[in-house]
Amino acid sequence: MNPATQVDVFGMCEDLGLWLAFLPMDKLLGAFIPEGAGGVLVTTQRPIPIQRYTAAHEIGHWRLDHGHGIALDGEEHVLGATAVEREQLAQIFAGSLLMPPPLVFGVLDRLDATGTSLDPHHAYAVAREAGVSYEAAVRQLTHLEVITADHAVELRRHRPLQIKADLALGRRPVNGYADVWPVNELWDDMLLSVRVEDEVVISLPENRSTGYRWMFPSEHSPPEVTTPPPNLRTHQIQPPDATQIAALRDQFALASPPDRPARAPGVVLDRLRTVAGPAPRPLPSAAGADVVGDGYVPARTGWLPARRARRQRLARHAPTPPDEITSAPVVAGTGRRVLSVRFPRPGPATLRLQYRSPYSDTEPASDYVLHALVEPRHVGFSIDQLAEDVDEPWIARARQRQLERPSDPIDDVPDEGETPGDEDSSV
Amino acid sequence: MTDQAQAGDSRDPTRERDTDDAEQEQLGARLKEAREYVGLLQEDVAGALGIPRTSVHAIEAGKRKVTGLELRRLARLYRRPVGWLLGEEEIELNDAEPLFRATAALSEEDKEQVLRFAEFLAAAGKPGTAGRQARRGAAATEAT
Repeated sequence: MNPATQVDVFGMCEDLGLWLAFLPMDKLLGAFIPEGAGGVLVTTQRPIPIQRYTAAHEIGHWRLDHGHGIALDGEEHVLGATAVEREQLAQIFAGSLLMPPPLVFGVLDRLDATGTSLDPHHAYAVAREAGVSYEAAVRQLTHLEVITADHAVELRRHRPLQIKADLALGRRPVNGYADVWPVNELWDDMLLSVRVEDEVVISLPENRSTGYRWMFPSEHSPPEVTTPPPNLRTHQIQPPDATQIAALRDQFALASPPDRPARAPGVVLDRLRTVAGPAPRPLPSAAGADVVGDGYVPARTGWLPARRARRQRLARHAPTPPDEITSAPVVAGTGRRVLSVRFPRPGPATLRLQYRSPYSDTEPASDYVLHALVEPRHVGFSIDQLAEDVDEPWIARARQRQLERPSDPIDDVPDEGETPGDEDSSV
Repeated sequence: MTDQAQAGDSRDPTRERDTDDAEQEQLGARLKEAREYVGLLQEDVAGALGIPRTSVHAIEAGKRKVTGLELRRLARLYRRPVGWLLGEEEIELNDAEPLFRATAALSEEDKEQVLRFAEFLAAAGKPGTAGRQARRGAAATEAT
């Protein structure tokens, strides 16, 4: 097991020979049921970090209090301050399982965070890297004596949602429970492991005075011959009637000459449509990802931090971590373009960005590639557990399907279009 | 003629067909319930049995007969005893009494989920770890 990466708690259940099921539950976060080979039940109604913590808690019950029988765990048992020793043990077990010291100290080392300088952002980074909630991370930091109890109280005052919004340039994540992963040019051609609906905030240096911009390849297409949108045409064909025109004229106090009645209302209608219409500026689309935020930070935040960090490192003669890319960023900027991207579907996704001029066909000046491995939400039973024999052909297909369409487990509509020819081929 | 004798008279072809249809429908409903519980699609099942998906749909709607071999494979796939699918046996819980006592305080929805999961566990046996090993193998290849 690699101590620097998230603990695969769901895979662990399978290793231990326990059944693992994700089912919708109302008040329960999870249950351990010792019937048969034993099984862990986790609710689907909570965010993934809580699901992971719950599963770890249930493994704790299985491991620590064998013979105590069934464990039905609500919120207070898994997350809260419970007086029951059995639940406390399971809580400690879950914390140690998901946030082992090598993982926690590894994250803190990378961030240069020590006891007193540890701020809410550092605590959130620990939570995100370990795949647990912010509160759980703060608790574990206290257990590991990284921070004092008073410090923990201070950290708990900060809301994780606000921390995430800070990381996304002040924009609240679309899904408040999702994690926010800030990446920059150092992450070029790197693999990032995220979850469905997590937001990746890509910050890249951009020099606006050059006219070059970071664009998705799909954005750059030869300029189309401008055709008016269809709704505009209907307005031209059907000019508003006289009463509408009068009303609009009153409303906007437009002094238009009486001999040109058709033109002025057209302008007013256009303006009305732009004002009232909720349609925001369409954000660029990317392969398999939704762009949910697009901002620009001018000022001196361009490429300076990266260079300053490198200088500091050299000054201290600190050994450079082997996995860190140390070459200077290709693009120097007057500021930073900040793009927020979220992945609605599980599976591997590759985002490509090109630094190029939107108005010409010259080659892009630089490329940026980010690989993401998007982990699905779990629903129902683990398909791997149902599969006893890997050689059976249906297993591979079912597993593939789980990766592609996890939220759609039940499909009852018969395919009427199926022809006898299809039947022959599938037999 | 007594009622008993009348009931025993199964020579009436329409009556026989009616009971057959009803039983087949019941079997189909149970197969559907078991499939949905483990979260499989009709097309997954079709692949496992080597029959078209429309046939799986027809089986679950009670419109197609199930062969003995198919029933055995379905039972293995869904982790249910053949007898349960046929409606002849209920799943016995070892720890039924403490289980019912423990779930008494839960909401109806949660109680139902816990009891159904316990039933599944009682019938299911050990989970396979083959998939997990295969996944780990793939991850190792990726890392090198």
